[in-house]
Amino acid sequence: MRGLGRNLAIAGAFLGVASLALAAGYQGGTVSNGGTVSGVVKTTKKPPEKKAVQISKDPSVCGKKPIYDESLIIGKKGELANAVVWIDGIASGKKLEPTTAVVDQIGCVYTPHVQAVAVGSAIELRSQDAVLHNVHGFLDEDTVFNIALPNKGSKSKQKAEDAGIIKLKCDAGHVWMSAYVAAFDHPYFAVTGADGSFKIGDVPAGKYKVMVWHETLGQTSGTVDVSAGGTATLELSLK
Amino acid sequence: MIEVRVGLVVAALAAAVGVAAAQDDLPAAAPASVERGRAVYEESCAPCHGFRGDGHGSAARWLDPRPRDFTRGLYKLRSTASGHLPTDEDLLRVIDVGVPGTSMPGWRDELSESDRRAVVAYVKTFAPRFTRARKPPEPRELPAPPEDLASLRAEGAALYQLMKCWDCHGREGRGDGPAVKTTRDDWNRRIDPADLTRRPLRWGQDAPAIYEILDTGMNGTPMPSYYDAALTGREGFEDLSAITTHYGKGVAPVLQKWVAQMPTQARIDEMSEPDRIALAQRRLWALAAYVMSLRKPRCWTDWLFEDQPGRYAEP
Repeated sequence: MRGLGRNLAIAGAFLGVASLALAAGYQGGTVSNGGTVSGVVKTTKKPPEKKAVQISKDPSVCGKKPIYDESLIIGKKGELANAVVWIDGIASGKKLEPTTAVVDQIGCVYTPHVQAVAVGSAIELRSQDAVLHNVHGFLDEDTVFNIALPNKGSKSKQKAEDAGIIKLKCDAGHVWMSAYVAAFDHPYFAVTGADGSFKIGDVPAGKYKVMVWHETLGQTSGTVDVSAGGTATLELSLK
Repeated sequence: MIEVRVGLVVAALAAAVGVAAAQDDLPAAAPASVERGRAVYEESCAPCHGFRGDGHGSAARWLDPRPRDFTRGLYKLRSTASGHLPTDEDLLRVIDVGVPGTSMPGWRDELSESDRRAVVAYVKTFAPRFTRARKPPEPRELPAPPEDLASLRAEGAALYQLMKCWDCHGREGRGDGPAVKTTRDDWNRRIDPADLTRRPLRWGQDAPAIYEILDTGMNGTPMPSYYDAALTGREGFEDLSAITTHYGKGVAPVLQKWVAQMPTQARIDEMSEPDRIALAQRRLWALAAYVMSLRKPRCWTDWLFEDQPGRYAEP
């Protein structure tokens, strides 16, 4: 009888801890013989005409080189750049490691335009421009930070505290400036390059829903079946 | 048998704790003060801020600036870092003294302290951001103003140009800088930068209030935090082209003298933490001293409407 009581207590404690873990979200650890999800993001849209934006303010600094709109970059075969791809709702796998997302401002353009990091990562803001910039970060249209970088060499360290896609913009009249930092509470994400390709490694075997987000074309998803040590390929198409 | 029962109770408790923690979306039972806050709010605050706290009370359309929308947790007047939620004390200060220059009155003489605190608790329930927060908002350090504050005014005037405050607030501080054409708030409404020659200012008329705005920024508006910018080294200030384009070449010699005295970026990066903090704080105090000096009554009738001793007293 004594044994039963103790066992029940232990089982209850386990249940409690397990549901706490569920509340805490992603469980990171080591993945042996994980698989890979690789693929390409495409669109049926035609590449937009490459046109320089109109420099309505500070032309002596912002107008040195033509600035091109980066909100829709499409390759010859419809490959979509700057799309964020992730495995949706993955509960466990490789370690979640915070890094640093550097956002530089050069000639009134954010570099890079789109990047993704783990929640808890630093977002390092910099400026090479001798004009007023403020990096105003929004998550779901609400301010999450707003930092003045008024001088060449100004810098600031912020933090990606919550999961979501932070939009950056400048209020100092540079209306064409925008960039995105996506923060995930799991480590299975990627940003497509100019060829529209992505690759996510160390994925525990299983069936997954893969999501893709693009600033102009919105969101869609696909499914993959990842085998241990294998590579699952996938083409995602945004309209 | 006792052990079995103890075991069962422990098991049930542990599971309950786990399940409760798992369901973090579950609304917490409303404590008594929130209920009291609702009653006070609906009588005294809802006419402007609305029963849903969205800033759409029946009087809102007549008011400029518009009453605060509480549903997004975005507050201009805070002691916390840029983008962060306000502390209870920040919210209480606004309820106590009001927001000078707007339709928001102070309620210290109208409501008891426990009622004002209850309103703070209730107002927070409008924004999911408060319930989601993992830890309570922390105020940033507000140092005591330097004794020689007025003597920092000239340095502040130089920093106002060098850190490009004029881009929004204008060369004379009248809120008419070149960026004004495109400034919008988080509700995508046009917003004008403060006219710094006018009083009253929203958070208070003294140097600490101005310092705090420079340090924390105004959430929901284009006004950013200037703390990190105040740690820029000499090299960053050497390119004066944007400033001379706006002010004319005449300002360059004076600015160059100020820039020559500044520490280099390498030196700032090597500084001990207390020295670095002291540098940033000194520069923000200098800016605050300059902003205080910008006040210009325009007409003899201004004394009627502007800050009079005691009228916007700090708590």
